[in-house]
Amino acid sequence: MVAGGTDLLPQVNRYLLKPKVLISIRNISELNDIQETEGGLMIGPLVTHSSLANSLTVKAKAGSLAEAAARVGSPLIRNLGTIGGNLCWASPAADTAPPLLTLGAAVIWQQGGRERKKDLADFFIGPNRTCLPPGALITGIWVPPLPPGMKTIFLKLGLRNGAAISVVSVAASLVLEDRMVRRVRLAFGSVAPVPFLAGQAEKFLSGKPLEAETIAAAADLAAAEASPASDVRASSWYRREMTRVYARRALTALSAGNGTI
Amino acid sequence: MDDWIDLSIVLNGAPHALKVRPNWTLLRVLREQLGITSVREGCSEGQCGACTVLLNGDPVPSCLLLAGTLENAEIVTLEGLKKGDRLHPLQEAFHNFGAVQCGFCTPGMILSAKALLDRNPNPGYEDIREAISGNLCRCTGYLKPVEAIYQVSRGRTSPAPEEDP
Amino acid sequence: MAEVPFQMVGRRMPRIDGEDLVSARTRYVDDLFFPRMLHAKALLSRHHHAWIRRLDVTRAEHLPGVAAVITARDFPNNLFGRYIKDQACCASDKVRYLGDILAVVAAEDADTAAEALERIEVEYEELPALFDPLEAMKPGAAPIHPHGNLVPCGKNNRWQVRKGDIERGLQEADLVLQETYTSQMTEHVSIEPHVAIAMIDPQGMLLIYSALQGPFGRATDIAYILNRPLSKVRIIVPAVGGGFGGKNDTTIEPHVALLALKTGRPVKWRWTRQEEFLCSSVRHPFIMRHEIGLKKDGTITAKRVTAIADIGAYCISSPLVIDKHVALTTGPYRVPHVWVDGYLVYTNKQMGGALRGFGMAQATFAVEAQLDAAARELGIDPLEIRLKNALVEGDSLAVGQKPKAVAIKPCLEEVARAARYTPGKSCAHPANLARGRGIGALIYTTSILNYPNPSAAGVVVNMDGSVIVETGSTDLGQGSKTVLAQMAAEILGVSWDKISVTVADTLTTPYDNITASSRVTFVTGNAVVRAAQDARGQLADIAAELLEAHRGDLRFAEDKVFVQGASQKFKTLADLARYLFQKKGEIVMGKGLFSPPQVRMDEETGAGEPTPCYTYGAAIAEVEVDRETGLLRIVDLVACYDCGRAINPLLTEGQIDGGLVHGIGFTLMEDMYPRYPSPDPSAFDLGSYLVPSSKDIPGRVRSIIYESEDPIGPFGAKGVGEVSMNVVAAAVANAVYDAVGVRIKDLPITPERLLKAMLAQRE
Repeated sequence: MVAGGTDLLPQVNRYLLKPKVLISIRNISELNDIQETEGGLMIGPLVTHSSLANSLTVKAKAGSLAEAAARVGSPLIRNLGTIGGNLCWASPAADTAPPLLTLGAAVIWQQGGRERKKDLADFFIGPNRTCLPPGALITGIWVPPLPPGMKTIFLKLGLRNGAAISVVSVAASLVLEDRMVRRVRLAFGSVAPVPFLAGQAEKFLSGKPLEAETIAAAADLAAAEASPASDVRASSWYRREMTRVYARRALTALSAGNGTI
Repeated sequence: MDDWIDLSIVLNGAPHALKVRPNWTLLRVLREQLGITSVREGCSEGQCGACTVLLNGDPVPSCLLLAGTLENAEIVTLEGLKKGDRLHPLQEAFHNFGAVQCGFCTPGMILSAKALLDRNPNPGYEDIREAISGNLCRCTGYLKPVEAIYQVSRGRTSPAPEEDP
Repeated sequence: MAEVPFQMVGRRMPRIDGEDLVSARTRYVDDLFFPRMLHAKALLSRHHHAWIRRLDVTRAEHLPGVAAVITARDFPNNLFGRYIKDQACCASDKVRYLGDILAVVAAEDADTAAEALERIEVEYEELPALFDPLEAMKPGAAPIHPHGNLVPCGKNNRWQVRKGDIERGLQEADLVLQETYTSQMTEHVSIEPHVAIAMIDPQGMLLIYSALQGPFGRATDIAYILNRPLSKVRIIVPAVGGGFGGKNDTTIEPHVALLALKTGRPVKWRWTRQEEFLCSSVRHPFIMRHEIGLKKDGTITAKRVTAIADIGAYCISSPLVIDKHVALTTGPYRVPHVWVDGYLVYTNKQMGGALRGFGMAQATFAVEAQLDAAARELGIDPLEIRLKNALVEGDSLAVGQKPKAVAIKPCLEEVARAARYTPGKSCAHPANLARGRGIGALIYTTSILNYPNPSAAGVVVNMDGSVIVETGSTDLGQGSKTVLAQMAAEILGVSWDKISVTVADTLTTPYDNITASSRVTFVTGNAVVRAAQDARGQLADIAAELLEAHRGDLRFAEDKVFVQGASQKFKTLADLARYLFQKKGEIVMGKGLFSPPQVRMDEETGAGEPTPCYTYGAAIAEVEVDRETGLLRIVDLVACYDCGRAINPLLTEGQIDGGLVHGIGFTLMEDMYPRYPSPDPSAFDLGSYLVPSSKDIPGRVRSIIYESEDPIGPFGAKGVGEVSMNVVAAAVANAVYDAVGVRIKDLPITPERLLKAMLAQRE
């Protein structure tokens, strides 16, 4: 199945993938919608990165997702690539995944007339592999209502300012009460076989004051939780170091009130 | 492959009825069936921007679009910017400000710029650089193209006399 | 700078072909379609290094839609090469890198051709592959070629420059520094890939359209390969979408030509972007061991360099690259004692060839890094040490030549003024974002160094007074057509809308060696000037007669020839041309030839005068380094380049702009083998091989044109296409030292490498 084609078509054009049949779902307009329902967001899988980045609704209710979408590829790619495609292609570097993980998102799909819903945290099972069964079609990405006062942030390290596959990406969502961490989620891309939530770091931070020392300790934990690969962009050493640095920067920015929302 | 898909598109304001193979990209159809040479093949993976077209107003890489999915699409290429013999202001400006060298990336870059100016008539330099960041150029270093686009947004298509463009 | 009394030369004006380009009327080779045209695709090697034990194309030949398949045995002369015939059109016994071509298929469409490739049966016997030139140089290393792993040259298989007495020079020094610098393999990434169409034209001529920089040299290769007279091979270059040296080589033309001859049909082959990365020539990775001796007042006494160029699988134009590198690796400085050894080493990778800067982007980085280090050691300001040693007229280069129009000092002074450079003031501070400034200075050349490279030209004045500039040079986007037309217009006084410049055609346009080495403005320009003056002379003779005036009193302007001080006495160019035809049966055709005077470099000492024209430049970069990530931002870049005379300052600026940004890619982000010399991982697509986008240009860029007025350049012009590329790495690397105290020795400066270096320094 092909939506925007930004991941699939390059492979087809190079004769690396030779599908016998391609079903294009680009024109199913019902899947290209952003709806506010039950206080949360139901995002159609065909919503493009441009639409996400420019949507006032998404900026208001899932700020880090809008930021991440604005940094995917180039403006041309963003006009074509979709959130559903980004998740299904399941690159370890998928930029929309870390924010969605920190927002507690879920994926909804239909298969054989039945609807299933799965937390995004359980959706990725390996590089370019998801638990989506054959023949299934994603019908929505659910972002639950955010707790009041939640702040979110997304940061990305690329090797150029133009379109760049992330060397590391981080998303965080946070609720502070009197400088104490009430709720925190911290997710990373490009530093493990799948985008993941740094559970140890999250557990450590919960209930603690958000200050330089706790942030540094949480960043160390997150770096230890990463299992980065070495590739053409960076070594695993550098990725692990940057996990630490970007975790620190994301949390520090939120503690200073510099997140989105 | 035996099948053909019947396709109706609007290209530069004119309707076209075509037959395309399922695996043909819009890039191929434009170049080989419709005689559009401003849209060019530089990488086939959506990274260079030389194949940029406006699809319903949005700049996209035509090498990543399967033509068969584009029923009723409105497509604009550089050829659609001219009004009779008159060049579009962006074309004038690229010419007069020295923003074109080998010219291969120019149509794609101009379309991205047009899309920017259509939605934001008063962009800053950052906005312009962002808007054309998907159009790679190896010749100009982007400096004169960015300036040309900026000048067009401020109503100029050529340098003022006695002034450096 | 004095007011220039020129009409056309020195004018900022849009390109003569600009309107065609912005309206996409221009036809590049891929835009040409011919009836019954076939599409070609090649089977490339699966291995870095292997014997070919079996190659069977029969099943491919029988696929419906396939018109022909060619392999090595189909070529009359399969082996070719200008310096050494080490490269095969199609690999016959051995493959030496992943871009080697085993067979080429011509089919009705690209899909069928791709399918046909899968039906070709190949059996390889793998050989150990060599990726490290230092390993490949060792005695006993498995030979990649029958002649071994060094390109033969002289007694010692190396290129040499010897001046003075190196041991004495080093002994006289108060400070001697030694360091090894390296640079990476990069790709041209012209947005237009290689593409060629071959056919037999209605006259039976083998006709090839190709995106080439030097069609005359390629035609010579093809004539040899196909065993045809050169007069029966025709190459036309309608337009090129960027070259930068990558389209210098004979790549796909012999194959499409042979297929066209075999099938009797037009055959087109366009490389995919992956084939561009795999098959085309690249910038040589270099290993440069530099030793410098200086007195404590900063005077350079000696320079000793061993330069090892990793040339990949085949030699192509590497000897010219190493010639230039060894000749100029002392930099734009006065150095009395010089010893340089340069080696060309084969490895099983892409072939090093011409890429903007041609060995000097690499050398400049090393020279400037070491001089900067010396300045710091001696406690001398980096600008001061450069000014102290800068060449002035009367100084001799390492090859002994005394260049004219030496402009390194003015370039340094200009750039320091524009950057408000203050000696002794360092930007460094311990904060998380550290800022620093660095200087780079360079010497470069115009026209091909140490190799004959003439250009011929013609200027025709038609009977309606319009003018044709006949040239076999190719405009790759740098604007040569415009500049040549400006020169002709200046001399003949013809109006701009009446000039045409020919498209390069090896059968019908005058010989031009190549568009490379920043040579067209200078060499072809001189040829055009001579041709225009020849035509002007013919017109002046008859005008003097008809106007009853002295030749010296005639002025050419506004399509007229008139008498100075008596402008009512004139004849139009059309009048004169028609008169000549009617009364004398003559046509106004001017001819010009220019060959850059050279004294070839001596094989032992390198002594000679390998090019008549040198160019200079300097840049100051201000960078900001993120100490935690190693990310580097160029905050400000100001550069001054000597172009002799800017024939068209608008186009000159365009060249400088492009070179600067190209240089940023070279300095910060481009690398085909990030873990060189290992071939894994490799960056062979535009998602992993990063070139600067519009968001990667510095916060502020300023370029200043300096005009030194070369004594033999046309109107004083020198070439400028490559210079601006060469000095960016030097300035940025030196700025990094100023910011964080880390000496960069290897390019590119990726954030990971910079972070590692900063951490290592803290220990």
